[in-house]
Amino acid sequence: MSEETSTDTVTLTVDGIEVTVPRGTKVIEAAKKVGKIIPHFCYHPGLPVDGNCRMCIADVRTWNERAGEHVPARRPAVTCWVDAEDKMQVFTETEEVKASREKVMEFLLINHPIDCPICDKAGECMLQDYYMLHDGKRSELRDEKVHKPRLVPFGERIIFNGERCILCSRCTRFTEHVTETHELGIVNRGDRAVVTVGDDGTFANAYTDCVADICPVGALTKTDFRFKKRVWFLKHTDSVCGGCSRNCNTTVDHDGSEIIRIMPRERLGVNDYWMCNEGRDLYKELGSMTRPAAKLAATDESSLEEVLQWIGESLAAHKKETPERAAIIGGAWMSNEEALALGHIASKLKIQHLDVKTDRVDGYPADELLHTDDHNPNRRGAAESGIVPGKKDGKDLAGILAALDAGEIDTLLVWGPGLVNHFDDEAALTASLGKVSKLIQLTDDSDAVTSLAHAVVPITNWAERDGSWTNVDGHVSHFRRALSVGDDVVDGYEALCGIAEAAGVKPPAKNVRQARKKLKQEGLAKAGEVADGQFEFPGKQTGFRHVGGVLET
Amino acid sequence: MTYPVLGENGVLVNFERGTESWPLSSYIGRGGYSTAKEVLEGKYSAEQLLQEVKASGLRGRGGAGFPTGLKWSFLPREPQGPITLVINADESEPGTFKDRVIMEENPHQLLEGCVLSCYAMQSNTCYIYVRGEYLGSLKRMEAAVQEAYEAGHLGENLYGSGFTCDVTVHSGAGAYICGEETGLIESLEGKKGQPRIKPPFPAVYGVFGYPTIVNNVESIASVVYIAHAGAGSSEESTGYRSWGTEKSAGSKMFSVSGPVKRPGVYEVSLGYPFKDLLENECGGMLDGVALKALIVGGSSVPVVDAETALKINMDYESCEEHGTLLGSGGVIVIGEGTCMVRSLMVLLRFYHHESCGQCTPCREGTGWIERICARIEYGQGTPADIDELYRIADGMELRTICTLADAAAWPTKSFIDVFRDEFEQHINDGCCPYDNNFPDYLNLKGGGAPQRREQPEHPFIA
Repeated sequence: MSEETSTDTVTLTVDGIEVTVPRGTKVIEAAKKVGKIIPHFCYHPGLPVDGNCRMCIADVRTWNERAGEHVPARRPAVTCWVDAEDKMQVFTETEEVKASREKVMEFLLINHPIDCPICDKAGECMLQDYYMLHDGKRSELRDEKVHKPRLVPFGERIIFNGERCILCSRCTRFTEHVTETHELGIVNRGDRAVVTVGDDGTFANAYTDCVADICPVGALTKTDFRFKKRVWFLKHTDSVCGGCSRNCNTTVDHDGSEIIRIMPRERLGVNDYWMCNEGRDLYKELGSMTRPAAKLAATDESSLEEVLQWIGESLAAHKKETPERAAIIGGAWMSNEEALALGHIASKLKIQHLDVKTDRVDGYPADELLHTDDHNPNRRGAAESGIVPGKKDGKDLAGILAALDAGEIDTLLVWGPGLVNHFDDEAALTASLGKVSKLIQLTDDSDAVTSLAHAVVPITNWAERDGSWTNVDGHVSHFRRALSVGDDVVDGYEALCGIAEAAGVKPPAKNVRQARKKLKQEGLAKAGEVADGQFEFPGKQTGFRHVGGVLET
Repeated sequence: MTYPVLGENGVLVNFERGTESWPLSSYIGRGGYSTAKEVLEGKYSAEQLLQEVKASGLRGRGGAGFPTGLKWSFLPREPQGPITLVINADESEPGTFKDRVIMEENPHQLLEGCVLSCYAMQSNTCYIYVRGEYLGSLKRMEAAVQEAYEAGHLGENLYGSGFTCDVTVHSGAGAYICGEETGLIESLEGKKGQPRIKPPFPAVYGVFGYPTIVNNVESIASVVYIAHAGAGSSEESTGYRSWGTEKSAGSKMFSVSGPVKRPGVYEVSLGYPFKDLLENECGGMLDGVALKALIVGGSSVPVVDAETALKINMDYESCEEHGTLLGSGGVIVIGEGTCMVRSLMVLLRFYHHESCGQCTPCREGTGWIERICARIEYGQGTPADIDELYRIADGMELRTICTLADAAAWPTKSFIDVFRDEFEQHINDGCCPYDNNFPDYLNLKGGGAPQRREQPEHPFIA
């Protein structure tokens, strides 16, 4: 280690294991690095430290240069607050530390209703988990528990149960420092303290559901998820939210055939720990989507193979003489891999008119936290991975639309719904597309184009396929298939492979996995893969570090 | 060996009690503001004054007893922003009412102390945070500040020295926890009074993020005398150290309550025996009442029995030697006929009510031990409850951000240690042995055998 870097990092031992972390790292994070998860409730890496739950107390000994030995803190240290220091010794598993945790657990549980059997959080509740791990004792409380308000609506999406609440203040810190909307606060003192919404009683910012995610107990539950499913029946699939070009990393919780809920997944630099309410509701849009059946107008045949064959041949027919009379309009919901394949087909068939359309126009307005003004996930990635508009003599979307109007396009391939967004109304779309002799659509949802199209391929939606999207800042996020589809629906990437083969083009890669590798090799779709960083908020007292040696009685 | 009672020429009670001692004219008449003038005109440099306070051995009079001069020296050498002095006048510890006497009867000495202390720590801003319930103190302080500004004892360019000192009086809103220095700072900033995690200590990160020193009223008022007479030593007849013991220098105000003939606030030299304080100043116990127990320094400190109480000298070391703490000087005298279980219940109700609700052990524990204690008092206790109380108090101790949980745990443990038989009697008899059997001095009706009473509804928990 050079001298320069040694001042920016500190080396300490956690249960005898040496770890080097950047200066200013909290002990709890340093311990996490070596796989020691110190039990905690109020600490959350995305929130300013409050240190109120007292669960993360450990035996922290600092090196005293003068005494030449390690000295324990005068009051037991909360590891979420104390900065790691050079030569520090942390013990997380001693008998005293365990006893301390048991005592804190006891205090947390005396007034807790222990209504796990009817609590939606059961199964993913920190209090429940730590009870099993650290206490496991029977209740010794003979007295009446403290009663608090229950079933209090916090806006339309959250229900608050004051008795389950352990007052960790994560939710209030979230509204104070992350959304900066200040709706939630804690009123009253002592064991009468209770979380409440502000004076006007509204709790309606775009990120309210996050408070239920970060609630370590079942005090804040989502109206959308209440009594829907026990969490241990849920299967979790890594996914990405397509609601806007932020591409929040998510987990799709489903039971194999139905999505039950969408939860944010930690991804620093993209969505950190959060996601918006709209993104959580995106799975409901899937339910209202009507996927068309495979269709080939020329014949009555509608087997997928036939349709793909016809599409491939139709596109290939332009290759020799009239490549300028064919056009491809990709979707901003395509994965990078699909864009690679479609772009590959276009270039091999010399089709130069290609661009990406806007599939979706409605959504929350942009804000400073996560929302962007583009309600489609992959406009950037599609363009970077293959659908490069305006190459050589190629026309971009505006050009293609003008050419359509002028009747200069014979074959048009449209990916996904939403082309109507670029027209004044459906009549204009119909008039324009009527001049196309071979209209092809690959889509997961029916729209105005579908009824006009000569060939329709039903493809998988975002929950049913593997792939990756590149967000507005260039970060790539991968999503996996959560739900399975029947034989009448074809995977988006496989459909493109089928078309390529029918057109006599070798696909860029034989499956999505290979395509992803290829994208990486070519330097595409890996921009902005960021290293995890320390997440900072201008919270209570942040920026002020440990003042060595000053102790007060 | 005789212990000087400071009386008329004392450090703080330097006037005749009961006279109109609070106006500026009265204070000037007994030499008021002459010390500030002398110091600002060059008697001491700021550093010299700080050293003098350090040498005086003055310890914080708010309860913790941390050396005042040492606290000041923790201020950063090159502060990023203005240094603030905050006077902690949020005197809410049960049994303590000494700062009130200073603020109501000698407010200008506190203000002069503010000027001198600000000068020593090179601060120009001073806040006096007065307890919300102390309306009288608040009015006297506000009037005194106005008088002092008008007479040129506060404000800009004091006595032509170029030094500025502004004092603002701020009223609390009635929370014990705002007497904790960081809770006070949060409250002063307009937030909910909840203590901050330390470090950083206020000397580095205090009011509005700037270096801040929080001192008790009595400590700051004592600075006037230190600046006037110097630190001195225990051998000399002048100077602050001429009073008190070697380790506990100076004088201390004690507020005595309970069944004594003359309860009230007395300033005595530290090291003064409790026995003398009780007999001389307070005129002894009420007729027919024997001393049963003593809480020497406000409700948070461990209780001692009568035998130990009479051995205690009123200084930091002697108190610690006898298993208690000098604390804030709130002397609660407990007479025979007082039920110790009920006393503890009342105390715990206070801590339950005042816990800020931030840290788990305190928020849940204070209520828990109060409920158990109340159950014992009303005859519903079980033999296991006593050890349970002790165990819970143990679990609360040292696990929280501030010391409120400790302040509830210490008396709980000491009440059980010293008066365990009384707790056992409650449980065995199934009722409080003192019920219907009140001591005569309370002038309550009753008499005859103890009767079991129903436990009333909790006053503040629905």
